[in-house]
Amino acid sequence: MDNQRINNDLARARIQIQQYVRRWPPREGLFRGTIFPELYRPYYFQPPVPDGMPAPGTMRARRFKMAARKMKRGKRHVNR
Amino acid sequence: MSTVRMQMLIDIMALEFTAVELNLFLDTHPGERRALDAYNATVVQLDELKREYEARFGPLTNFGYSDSDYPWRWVEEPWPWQINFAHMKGV
Repeated sequence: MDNQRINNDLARARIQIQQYVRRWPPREGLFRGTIFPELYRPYYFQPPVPDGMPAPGTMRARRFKMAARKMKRGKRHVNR
Repeated sequence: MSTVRMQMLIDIMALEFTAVELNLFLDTHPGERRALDAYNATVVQLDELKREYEARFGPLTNFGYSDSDYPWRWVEEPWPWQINFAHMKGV
């Protein structure tokens, strides 16, 4: 019986503690449904940073960006 | 409903929403000073705006918060469905 109950646990949620970083002005918050940009979906404002992405502003970051743009262009070409 | 009145009503709703958001954040982060400061500032702004609105246009609630001119003002207020919020982003 006990084992059965354990087997019925399909998933567990883990939520990161929110940090107070910034907030939208009242009207913008009202229209978006949250005053916290990091809780807004889809996450247009702070795109998730993939692992291994270079720190912004560095030479490596610029090269990273250019490579990404090239990749995009390539994909578009293939689609045509 | 006049544009000024509509704008004030929307700003009141927006500040109330901000207050609720900060309230919920503070429930789980009671020690976050910046959020608390933001909450307190919001509450002051909201209180001022509500007082100004009620002085100009009439009571926001039916009893307990603002006094009334003669005759009784509350029944003069528009019903919620008489206010068109459909275009409130543009106001």
